Amino acid sequence: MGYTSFAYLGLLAASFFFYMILPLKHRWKVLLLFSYAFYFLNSGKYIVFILLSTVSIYLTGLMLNKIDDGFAVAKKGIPKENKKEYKAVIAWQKKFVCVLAVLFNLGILVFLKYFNFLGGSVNGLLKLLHLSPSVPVLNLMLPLGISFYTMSAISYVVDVYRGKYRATDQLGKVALFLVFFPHIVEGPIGRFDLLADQLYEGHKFNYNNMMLGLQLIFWGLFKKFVLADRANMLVTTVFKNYMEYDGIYVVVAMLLYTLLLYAEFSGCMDIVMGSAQMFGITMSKNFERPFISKTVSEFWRRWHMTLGSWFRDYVFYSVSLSKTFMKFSKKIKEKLSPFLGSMIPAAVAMFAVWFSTGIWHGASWKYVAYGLYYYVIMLIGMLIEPATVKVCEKIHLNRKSVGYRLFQLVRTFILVNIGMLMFRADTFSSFMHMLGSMFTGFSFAPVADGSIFEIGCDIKDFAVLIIGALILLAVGLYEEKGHSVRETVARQNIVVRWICYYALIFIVLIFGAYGRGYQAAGFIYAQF
Amino acid sequence: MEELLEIMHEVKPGVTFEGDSDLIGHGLLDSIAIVTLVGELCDAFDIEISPVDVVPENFKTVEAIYALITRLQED
Amino acid sequence: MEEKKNRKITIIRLIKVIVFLAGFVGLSVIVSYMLTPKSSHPESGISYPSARGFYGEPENTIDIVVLGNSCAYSGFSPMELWNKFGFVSYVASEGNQNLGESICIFDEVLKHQKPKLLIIDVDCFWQTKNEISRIEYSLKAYLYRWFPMFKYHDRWKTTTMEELFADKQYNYRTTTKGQFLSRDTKAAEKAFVMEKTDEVEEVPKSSVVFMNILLKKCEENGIEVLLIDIPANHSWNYAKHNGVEEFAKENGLHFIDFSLVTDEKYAINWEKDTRDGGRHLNSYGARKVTRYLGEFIKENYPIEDKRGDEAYSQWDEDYKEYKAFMKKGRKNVKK
Repeated sequence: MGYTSFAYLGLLAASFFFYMILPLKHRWKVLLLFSYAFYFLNSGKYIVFILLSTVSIYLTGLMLNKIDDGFAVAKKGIPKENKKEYKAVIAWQKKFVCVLAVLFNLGILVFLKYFNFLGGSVNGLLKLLHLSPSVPVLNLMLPLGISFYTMSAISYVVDVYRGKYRATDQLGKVALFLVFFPHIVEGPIGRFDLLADQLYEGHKFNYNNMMLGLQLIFWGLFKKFVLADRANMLVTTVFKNYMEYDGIYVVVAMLLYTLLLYAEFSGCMDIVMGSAQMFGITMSKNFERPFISKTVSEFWRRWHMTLGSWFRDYVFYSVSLSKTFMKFSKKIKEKLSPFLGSMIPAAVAMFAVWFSTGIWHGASWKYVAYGLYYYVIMLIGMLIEPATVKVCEKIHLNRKSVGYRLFQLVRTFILVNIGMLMFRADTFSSFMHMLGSMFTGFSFAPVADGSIFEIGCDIKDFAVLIIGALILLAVGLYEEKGHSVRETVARQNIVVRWICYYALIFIVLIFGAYGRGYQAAGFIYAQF
Repeated sequence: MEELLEIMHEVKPGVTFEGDSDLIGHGLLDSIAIVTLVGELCDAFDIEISPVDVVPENFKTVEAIYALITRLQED
Repeated sequence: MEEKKNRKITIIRLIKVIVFLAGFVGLSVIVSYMLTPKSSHPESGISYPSARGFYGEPENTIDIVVLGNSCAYSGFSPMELWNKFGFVSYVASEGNQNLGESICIFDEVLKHQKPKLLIIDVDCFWQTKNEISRIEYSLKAYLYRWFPMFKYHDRWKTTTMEELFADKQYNYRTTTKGQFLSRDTKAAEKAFVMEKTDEVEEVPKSSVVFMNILLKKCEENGIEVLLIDIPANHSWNYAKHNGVEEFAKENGLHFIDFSLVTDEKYAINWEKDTRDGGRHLNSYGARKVTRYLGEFIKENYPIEDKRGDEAYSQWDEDYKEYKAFMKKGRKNVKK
């Protein structure tokens, strides 16, 4: 049941109705009930895993609170000289509880998502050593959204452990925070301090919120139906039969896949955020015009932002700010050089981030390679940064000039597209094959003789895709300047406004690639 | 304050931090620079900066970083 | 004071929402008209033009209409029925037709024809995988009927400026009368034999609801209803047979299950009478089904033999084409 199905829209409408007719303080129960219903309809008995996670982090939170409270009381009665010792014991206790909870939640995810991958890798290794494979292959199904809610669950436990906020004693709040139906399928990955109170407190019916939410939902449907599902036709053909295509076919498929993934994922986020806004709930942004990035690290700060910030806060900082790591970095600084002293620790911490980012996307070596691809690019960028600065100064190249910025944009765009190619290709070797075949057979003949228009998208489909992409670009640039399209439209008089609304709705209904003759792209991130 | 600026210039030479209202948003401090900076600050001021303190609000301006240091020294 | 103001705002907003939705419906009707094919010829982009060939027949000439899914248009032959019995029939079946769609196309038929007998292939009672999707698809059929825009939205690619506002002219006629002619022969892996059981797989609730709508329509128009099941080895079984048997009894209808016909003259030969390994009959299988059916109709329903009637001379011409086609003989296909 994806976000574009009638079933989801029906569920949204029903939950909205009941939410608004109940007294304020009971409204969160409607959300919780409908969220569990949605979850159960999708995953059936696998609902038990999210319940386990919910209870485990709830209890962990309470336990951490208790330890903190005990410390606060005991602190006063302890002589100063023993304080440090006592503090260390408390710190150890807290760490133990926190690590246990993280391992438990991570363990469920790793077992369900990575068991067969790890088992396969072990078996492969055994084979190399001429031993018989011994790890069985299990038939495991992934519970809906497990990759997303596990991240939220861990962030809650770690935040409480770090003392960012106190754990809640309301089970319902934790439960709703994890299972809230708009964000359960594809995120955005929620943070307890930003989201939980909003979900829990009742919001009054607000006409403007409802209208703005609906507009955002339709904007998301536009991206999904008109662009993603249309591009999907050509993309599927080429990636499925990649041996038969080379040159411009692969280039076009790669570009369209980038468009597809962006339109699909950000469109889904628009539907999610629009749905939440109808209830008066604001969710974290997941996209901020990623394709105007000047570097790939900027790209990752603008693309799937909640994932990036999660890895930054809970992997990068956890690793690089740990005491052992600090000591290690100091040693390098003293023994080797200050430059390496800051480089090597960063490189190690970043490796942890990008390895996990890669494998988070899927249990295969291809996704590991996908993560490391970005790691290597960023690392090279960091290493040659001092040299580039020098070279630019020597040849009097202004790094802030329009020309240089354009170069950076194009460079980043190409690198990202190659990343997307790897992301979509079936295996790493098919990615290598496609990457190579782009250059070996390149010519514009397929465009000139029209054969490019015969593998899924005809010339009219291309027209829609190009116009649609230009609309996305225009909206993006307008918003980058700090304006909001929805607010600008809202300021117009009623005739202009309604024309805009009707136009959007009918564009989706007429130019959407749905119904007979179309195969929808599916929600890609829902598989993770 | 002087000492702080000195350290910051060591970490990122050739950058003017003073007066900037959003060091992170403007890309003057990325997460790697922050980690290096945190390491230096811990040494120089004998404080412990934990991941909870590493949030954009605390590293937005030179003044914010200074405030963070003062707060941690008092703890 | 404050409250009064708020109430006023609420009322204004409510009116705005209603006017907006009304505007949406109005525009949908206009856009729907624009995008609907204005001709019923295959190249117009209309869905299942052969099922809609009854528009091309003179008004009120067709006595028997067959509804159902692909099993029905593969396994029933109007031309055979005409030649042997002189009954005038049409197959308005569509691929994967569900009962919602059956009702919609039957309404189209009723606007143009006055049938006396409706034959339904019950395979479509179990169309699609579960009850939810059956309801969803049937409701979709109604949506398509009131707002064809949702079905034909893709026609922005092929339509022309003149066509957008042109009048509808549906006059395509086909000499197959809706049958899907096929000489292809691909044997089933093994003969399909239904194992007798007392188990009953009840007709799905949603199908009962839609059938009742259809039955009521027939009653109002004085049309008799006959249930049949044309053999298909992948979807049919004895429990379903029992379910339909019960349904037929409750509603006082005849039900012929062709999978249980054993008379050598009419029984399906699973090596020769199917075009795709048993999922659908070919036109030789259809010939057997139709001949049996013809005898049954002759005995049970007051349908006139129109052979020799001047008004139907065209049907004799059409039959020649059918005969020529069948004469060419089987075409064996491997895969």
